[in-house]
Amino acid sequence: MKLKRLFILAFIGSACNQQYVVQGNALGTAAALNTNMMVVQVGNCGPYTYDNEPCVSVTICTPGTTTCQTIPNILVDTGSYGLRIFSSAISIGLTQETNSTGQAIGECAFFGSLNTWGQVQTADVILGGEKAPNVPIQVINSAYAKTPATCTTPATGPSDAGYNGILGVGLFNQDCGENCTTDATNEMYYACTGTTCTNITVTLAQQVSNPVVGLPLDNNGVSLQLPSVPLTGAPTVTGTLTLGIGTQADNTPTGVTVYPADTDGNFITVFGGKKYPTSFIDSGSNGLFFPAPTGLATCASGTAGSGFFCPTPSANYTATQEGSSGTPQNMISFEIYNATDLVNTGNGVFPSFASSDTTEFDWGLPFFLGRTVYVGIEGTTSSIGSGPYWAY
Amino acid sequence: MKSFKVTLVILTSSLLAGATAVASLGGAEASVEQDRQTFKAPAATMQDNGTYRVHEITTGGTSIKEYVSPQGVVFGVSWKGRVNPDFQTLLGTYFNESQTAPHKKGRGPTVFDGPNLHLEKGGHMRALGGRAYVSGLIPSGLTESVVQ
Repeated sequence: MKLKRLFILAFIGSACNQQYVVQGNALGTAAALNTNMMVVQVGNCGPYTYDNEPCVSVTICTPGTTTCQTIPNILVDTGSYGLRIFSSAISIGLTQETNSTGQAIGECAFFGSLNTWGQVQTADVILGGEKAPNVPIQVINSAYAKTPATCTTPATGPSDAGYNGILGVGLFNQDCGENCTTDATNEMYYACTGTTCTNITVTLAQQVSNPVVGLPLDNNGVSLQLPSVPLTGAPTVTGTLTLGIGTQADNTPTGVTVYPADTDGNFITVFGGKKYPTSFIDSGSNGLFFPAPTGLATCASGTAGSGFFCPTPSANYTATQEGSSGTPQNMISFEIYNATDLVNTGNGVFPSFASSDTTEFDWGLPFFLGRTVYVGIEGTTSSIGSGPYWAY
Repeated sequence: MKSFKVTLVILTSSLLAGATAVASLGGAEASVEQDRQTFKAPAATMQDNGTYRVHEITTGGTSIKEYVSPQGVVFGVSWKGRVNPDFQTLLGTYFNESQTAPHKKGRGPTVFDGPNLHLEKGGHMRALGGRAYVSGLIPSGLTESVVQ
């Protein structure tokens, strides 16, 4: 019995690898797991992927219909808010969002890495076995209308980005928030006719929104649980993205500490005797990114780990995470391995993969390995606190 | 007559766009004003620290600082806010160098050291930030740490 269940889990886990898309009513297909759970795979997510990429399959439907499509290799991103999928991966019709004069709404979403440009359309979004109706999502298409100049070098497709889309399940309800309801120079939302796009204000309801917020239940946050991985890596691992915090028996935290975030979605990290108040926890960053300590070498350009750290062969550090107002505090120990050696193992998941950042500590995917991390959404409460917060 | 006026407007705006391409990082102090117009921002504020000047432009939820040497050359820029700046305008002639940054495998903040340009981009949705400077343009007696 136990073996059988494992087999089913493994089979679902491989969904990230599938290159075809499943069409039909997906609500009936998620029976193997609780309805508020999704299988997350890390590493080897599809034909286009990268190390430490956590991915899920997400089902979208033409609003109000049973015409649905399940799309694999969607990046699980606790550092952004809203669902974005490349137009080239979508084969069903969605509903174009328009402004009061009937012009199509387009958007540039800004990231630390690649920006994304494309239309805003609504879809019914099915996460696990739960459906959020009429959710504004971004259909990523760098060729849509005309990319505004401020939307520098937007992602062009899955081969460029390494995923078919991004599931932003972070701390906030919308990707922009109040600012875009009043500021017509927000540089994010546009009304487009032909190839002319004009910056506009949009209501909160029109903005690309965190699909978790649109669920009928389990809508106050998520938790991401991933297994421990040896320091030199594993080919791939699977874990769980669970919807809701303290709303069901299967998502009620015990013995966790809550770290409040500020209104920008940051908290404090103290590292090397310096305080970095714009630090954050982000499953969509594929390493630990922090100010390089003296003596920690970067891999030579042209080597497999180029751009990441290359100690010989490893280095140990500690850093202290703090809530945005200074409490609570928790010291984290971590070990960094030579990234070129790691990549050359051919594995796809590494807890010891890191690179330099300068003004912040970005606790990326490695932080999630061996933990269950809760992400509490702004304006919500749960059995452990009021969002925005992280807890583990 | 009407169509003639439209042509003129297009011509003027394309001239402006052309002018900003050589502005900003590495450009003259006057390029700050061109940037402000390109970014459609309200008036810039200026702080004189004695050895260098900092112009601050706030636009679309993001604040941009341009660091100017006593000789009137922009030696560094930084930004913080909800959106990334238009790098083509802000990095000026160094934009092309920024495009030579190796495509790092994965996703996260980037730190790039080119022959002239140093560029850092980081943060996450709604809270982005970064800075860029040209070492050779930093006034003597100062370090890159003033660009923040």
